[in-house]
Amino acid sequence: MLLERYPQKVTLKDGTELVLRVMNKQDERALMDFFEGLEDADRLYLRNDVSSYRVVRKWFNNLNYNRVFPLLAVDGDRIVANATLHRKPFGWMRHVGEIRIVVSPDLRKKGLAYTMFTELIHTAADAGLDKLTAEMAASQAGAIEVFRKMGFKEETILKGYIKDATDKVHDLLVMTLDIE
Amino acid sequence: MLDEYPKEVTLRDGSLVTLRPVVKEDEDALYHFFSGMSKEDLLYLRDDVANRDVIHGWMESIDYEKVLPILAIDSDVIIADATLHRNPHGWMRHVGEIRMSVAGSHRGKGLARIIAAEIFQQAVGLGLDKLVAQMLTIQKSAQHVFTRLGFKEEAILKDHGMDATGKKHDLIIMSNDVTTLWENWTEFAESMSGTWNMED
Repeated sequence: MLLERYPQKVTLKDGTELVLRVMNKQDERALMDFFEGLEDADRLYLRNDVSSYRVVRKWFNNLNYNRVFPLLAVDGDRIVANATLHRKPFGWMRHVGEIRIVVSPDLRKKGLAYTMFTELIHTAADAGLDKLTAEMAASQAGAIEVFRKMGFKEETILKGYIKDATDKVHDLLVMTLDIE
Repeated sequence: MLDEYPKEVTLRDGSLVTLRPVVKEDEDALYHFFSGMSKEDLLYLRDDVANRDVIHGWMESIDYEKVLPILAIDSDVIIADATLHRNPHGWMRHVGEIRMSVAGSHRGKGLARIIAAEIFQQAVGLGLDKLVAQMLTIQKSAQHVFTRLGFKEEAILKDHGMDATGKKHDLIIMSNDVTTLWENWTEFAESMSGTWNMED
């Protein structure tokens, strides 16, 4: 699963040096801190309730890289981005992976999302996946742009599938990328 | 809401069936239920249910908040399974997914409607807005069942499903509002009352 690629040093467009590495059990506190550092605008659209200690604790109790491959970008002890590849090794979607990413506000627009996605696409190809999906609110123009740059295309819109933190309903956009 | 189980219902052919949520002790019976499916059914199943470890994994992590499985049981044998999947804390907290399997020997008795109604009722009680069902586009009879239950085609995802032989198929997403599905069901049950003992 290409674990030997990490830890890996990366230099961003503006010269910032970070390390990419796979998340492990010791990262629980740092990940909570990372989510707490997000702005309200980001929290509005988070897929899981990451401010809940219970939710995050559960992730760490269930770490299984074959199901969720979590890649972190760290600056020393601080997590600055979290990108994950989700898949089900068995069943009718065994050839499909889903990718998600959250980047700390102070490290955006420096190409970090692009760098981490490239890593996840390598991991997905190595795992034999054929198709990647990404889900976001149809109103998240910034996220859509990032995925477009990666070659993702809009595949479908599901009406009313997202309820944001204020209970406002949004359409869900499914973007996909063939990696054969 | 789960305290109304077990419930007993009478099928169209007069047989009496018990409905109740799955419990850990159902592992053997559930394994037999899935391994008794026809080759064709197994070809298109979403999970590798012929694998005992998969069933065991489910039974070890029963959490009705995330997956609520309602079984239909006839003399200790599981004859149908319907599950309501949801993520109570995330951005899809208002959406539930329904999945159903009915034993080949018990089809054509209105069982799918009965177990689907249990899921609809739970969805109403939980305050969900939307129910979704996913299947492969070649699974015509499943689409027919969900259409009759009031689901509408919402999207098709290309090559999104892979069958047991590795062949890819398009995936269809069907959905509708919970209130609409529940109203449909209530109308249907009323039209059948007298001929079909649906109450309780």
